[in-house]
Amino acid sequence: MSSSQEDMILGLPRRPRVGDASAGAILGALALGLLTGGWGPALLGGLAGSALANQRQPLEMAIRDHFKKHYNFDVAFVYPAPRAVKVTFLYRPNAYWTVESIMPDDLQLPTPDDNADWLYGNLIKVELPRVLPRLRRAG
Amino acid sequence: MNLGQLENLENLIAEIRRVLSADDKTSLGNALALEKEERLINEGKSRFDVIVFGDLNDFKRINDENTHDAGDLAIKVVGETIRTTLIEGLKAEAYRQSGDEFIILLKEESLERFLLLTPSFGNITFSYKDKELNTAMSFGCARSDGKTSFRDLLERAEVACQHAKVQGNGACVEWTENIELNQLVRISGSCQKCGARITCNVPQQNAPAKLKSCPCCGSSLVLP
Repeated sequence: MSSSQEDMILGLPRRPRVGDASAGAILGALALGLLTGGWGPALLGGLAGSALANQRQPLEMAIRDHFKKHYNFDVAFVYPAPRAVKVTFLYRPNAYWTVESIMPDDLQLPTPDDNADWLYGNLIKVELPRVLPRLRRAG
Repeated sequence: MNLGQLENLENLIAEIRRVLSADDKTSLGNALALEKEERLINEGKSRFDVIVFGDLNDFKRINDENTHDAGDLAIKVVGETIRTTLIEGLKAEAYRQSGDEFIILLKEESLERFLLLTPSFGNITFSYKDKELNTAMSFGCARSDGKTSFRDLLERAEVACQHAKVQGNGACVEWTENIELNQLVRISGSCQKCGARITCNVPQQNAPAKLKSCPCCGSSLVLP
């Protein structure tokens, strides 16, 4: 699926759509119970062309997929909150780090989905790049 | 519904079942999965006959000094060590019951090898935010006699684990009737080294009338 203005929120990327996820990411999300509740019929009928393919990935699935695909980091824990998300990940064998994405109090977005998109975008474009130099030094 | 869809549905249900019995912090089973095995043990249908109870030593210290994120990681790395050492190595099954409490099920023929492996749980290290941290476990175990329920065996293993903690990190104590007779007593005093108030559990028979040194750190102890 192509990237467009509708895939951005306040200059940050929104969560990718389920149809953009690799088969491995979908299976991983299923195994972790991230794709449950109403997803079954869509999966039964096949993903392509279904309404599911066009939906945004659940926040944890999007985070796990991004960390793995771009940095080969395994996510150990995701701690979600309505206006924040904290992620602990493995960046080298037996070594972990935590990054957080927190919405400023004055930022009010129309829907919880917009909140999740902003938290994702801020995490991968602002917070994670901020700690990467420290991880390289630590490694 | 055609055959392909039926197969997909079966796979989905199997996946949901697996997710329901998986622990959220480790790759072990959760309390729900343990309940299933508990039923088998109580019905005499389980292949396991030794129940091991273990929990993290000084878990509160990790949480207090390094945040709960580090505590969660301690649970995760211990879970990984249990998986590689005991599940893959001894064909055991392991569960996280709650918090930092783990339950391992063994066949009696594996018990001897298990006892040789427990010292490797005496110092489990990991790095969090560039800081080296460590955690440790002690274990208690109880053999099934075919007459005692799972819950009673677990209680025995927990009592034995308290005795193992007195022996130190990585220790394992097997429950015997003698352990039940020689219950732990709580002794409090002030450590002369730092003046801190110390409370220790020591086996009743081994506790002298006037304890001169702290059984935890060995330094002189002033009793009230």
